[in-house]
Amino acid sequence: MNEKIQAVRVYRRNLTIVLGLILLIFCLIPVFVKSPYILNIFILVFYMSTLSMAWNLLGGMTGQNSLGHAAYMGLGAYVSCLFITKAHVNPWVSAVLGMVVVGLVAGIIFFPCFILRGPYFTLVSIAFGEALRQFIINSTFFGRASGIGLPFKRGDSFLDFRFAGKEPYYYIGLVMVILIYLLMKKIERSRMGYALRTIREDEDAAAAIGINPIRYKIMAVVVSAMVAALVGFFYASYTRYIDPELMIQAKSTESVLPAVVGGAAYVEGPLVGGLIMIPLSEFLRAKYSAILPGINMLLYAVALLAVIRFRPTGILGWYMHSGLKKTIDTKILKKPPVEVLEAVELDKRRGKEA
Amino acid sequence: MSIFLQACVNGLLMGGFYSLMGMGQNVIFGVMKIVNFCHGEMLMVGMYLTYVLSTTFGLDPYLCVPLVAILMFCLGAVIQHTLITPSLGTKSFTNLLFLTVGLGLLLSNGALVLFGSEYRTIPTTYSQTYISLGPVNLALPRLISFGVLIVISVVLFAFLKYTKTGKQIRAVSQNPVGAEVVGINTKRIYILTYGIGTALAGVAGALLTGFYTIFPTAGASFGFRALIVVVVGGLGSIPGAFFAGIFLGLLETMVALFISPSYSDLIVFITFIVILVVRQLIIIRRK
Amino acid sequence: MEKTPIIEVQHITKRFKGLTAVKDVSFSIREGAITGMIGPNGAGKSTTFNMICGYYPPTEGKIFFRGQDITDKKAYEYTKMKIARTFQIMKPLKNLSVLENVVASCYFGHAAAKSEHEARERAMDVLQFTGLYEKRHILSKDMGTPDQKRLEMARALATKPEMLFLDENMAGLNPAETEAAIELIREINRSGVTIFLIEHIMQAVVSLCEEVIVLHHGEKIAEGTPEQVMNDPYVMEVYLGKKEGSHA
Repeated sequence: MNEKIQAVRVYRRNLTIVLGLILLIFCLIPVFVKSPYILNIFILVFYMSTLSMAWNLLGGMTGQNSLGHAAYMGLGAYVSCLFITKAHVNPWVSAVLGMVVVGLVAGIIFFPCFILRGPYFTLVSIAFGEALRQFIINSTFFGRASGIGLPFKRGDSFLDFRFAGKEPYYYIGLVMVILIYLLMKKIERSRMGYALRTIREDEDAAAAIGINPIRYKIMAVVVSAMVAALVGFFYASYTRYIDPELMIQAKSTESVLPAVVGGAAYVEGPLVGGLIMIPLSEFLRAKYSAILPGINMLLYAVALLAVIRFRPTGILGWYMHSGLKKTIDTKILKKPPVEVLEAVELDKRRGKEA
Repeated sequence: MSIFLQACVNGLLMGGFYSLMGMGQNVIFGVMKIVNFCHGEMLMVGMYLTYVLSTTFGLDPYLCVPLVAILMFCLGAVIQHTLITPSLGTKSFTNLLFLTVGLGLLLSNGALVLFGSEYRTIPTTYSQTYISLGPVNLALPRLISFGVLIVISVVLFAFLKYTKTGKQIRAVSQNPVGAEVVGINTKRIYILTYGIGTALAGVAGALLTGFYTIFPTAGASFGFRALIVVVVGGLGSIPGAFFAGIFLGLLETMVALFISPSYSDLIVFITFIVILVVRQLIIIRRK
Repeated sequence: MEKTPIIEVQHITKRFKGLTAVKDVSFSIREGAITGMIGPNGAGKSTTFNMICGYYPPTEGKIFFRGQDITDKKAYEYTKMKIARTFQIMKPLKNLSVLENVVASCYFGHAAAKSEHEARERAMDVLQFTGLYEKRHILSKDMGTPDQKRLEMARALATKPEMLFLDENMAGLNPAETEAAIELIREINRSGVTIFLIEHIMQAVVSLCEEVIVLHHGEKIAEGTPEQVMNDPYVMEVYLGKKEGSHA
């Protein structure tokens, strides 16, 4: 038993070291990379991955394919901006208020819609997004098509969430990604996560073990919309200006791609997909869009189709069953067999109980 | 009063296009249970095909319609065979959805690369010809298009109802496994279905060129309206799709006339959500 | 004086658009027993079963659980009342491992696990009990029919039911596998769970059940011990007459 405990301890330590190193690299990037262009791409990766994680809670984990996440993000951005500009509420408080409002709106709107299964839910999410955008375009209160800007003042202020440089946004974005990732990981292993995945596989089977499908689907949509609203707030604070273009259908699609490419079945999928697809898209845009407009999105679409056609479970789905993972697990992390991990875990708990 | 009549007629004529798009989407959704999110882009491809055919060969746009139909059918068949059929095996609705979304991106950006973002039209000698019918003026291109639409709808309906292939398509849409058991080659039916669906969208695009500008994202609004038509008209129902399309066209013009043109999209989407939910509630009640 | 039956079905009828699938059926299930329901294809067994499990409400009639009216309870409220069911067409959570399948069940019902540790531990016990422990890390879609049938039972058992409904749990199994399944059902029953099952395989019903209910054309035509039912002339006529048909 002792060597088993030892093996698990070594594995845990190695895992911590590797994760710590990755984190350290991300923390050090702004120290060495001064180019605003590159930092901007990273910030984009952070918030798009977060948005994609929000989508994945609903799409990947619950099996409800939403194509309206740009709308939640946009609404979150609008609500928090309006609190800041009209009511002069502190931005951080506005962020929370924005999340609450968007969560409520999503819950109320989708309460009747969850009797719809499969593609109908997708259609409603599109219609909801478009209706919301049209509503904002027609509403003077929301600034119509010209949008709203956040007040511009000199000097950095953490309290006001306002910085001249990109580094602070970089770090706040990084913290946001990590926090949301931990939240999603927590949800996945909780009762709610099991309920959502059971619903994804079969709603009747879910009801048979005592899950109220509608209740959990609404919980998922509310949490997902709230995270999207948070991203909206971050985006608005970063760009200092928002308009209804934020909510167009194409943005919703973009928010899904990292999850699908990375692997929608995994909480880490949106992160992996975001880290690959967004720099790719930005690189293509910078390199080709001036020469031949559209070529960047064309190549992007080809990459997407290739992944779906040849790696239907996404990059992570492929990695999980690849030799690469085996090599990394055994050579670098020195991961012991699952049985050993389980035995040690069981032993530890017995010890605690005794 | 004459404005109202004019709006009615315009709504009717526009609704015809929604019907045609909806029928294509309906056939695809009915048979494969997948939502074809690049349906609007297929319409756009049909527009550009017509544009190329008429500018390089000097063909009249309406003479291009059969050609466009054939070419689009081939395009649809190829896409189905190489991309969609293999992915149907994974049974992942998410993947199929984003496959068609990706195809849409591919097509609209492909058009952007090939033709640029400028708006194009196909000028014809009769594009400015109007026919007066009492207080109502009808643009000739719209009228011709509507006539063609009606013919196609009737032909499609008859095809699905009376021909052997049409019956096979309906059999597969009812029960793919059962159809396979009685010896229907479902893969062939899938290819045929997707081909027909894209051909219908392409034809709608070709017919639109008579009075609509051509640009890479021209299909987007038609694409989503096709989905509305399918849902409102009922799955697998060709007459349902036809009337739902007309209803949608009329609804849009009426909102534009009585409320404000800028509200027409908003009202259309909200009406859609309401109809969808009410319909589902009725289904549950009946159960 | 007999004590209250665990389930009491009173005059239930189900009509689907003019077609009467089940007509005025009444019976009761004795606590602690294994009760079986048999009948030829289309006799209304599954419909009856689904009504009792809250899948759809009966058009007429009432269903009681320990004297409490549960006719209008929703399907997802059943595990709270210590009732669980399996499905004839297996519904494993395909993309989840066997262990995760069972852990999901441990989180719900009247004895829902409070923590992940508790859920996993209980899932392990259920897997040991149902003989799926060695396969716990396999994706459930990669298993064969016998194991998927076992998993159906494991998922139901993980909600700690006192009343278990089994919908054709032995269909598609070979004789050896059927024997193993019968043994497992006995084991479950010995642990204090009342069982109600629908079955096609006569061998299973005869060797397992203490009481048998026979349905035909949506009506109850006989009930009693397996011997009584097997010797009932009407049942013999229905069954022998239909024997060829039901195996076609």
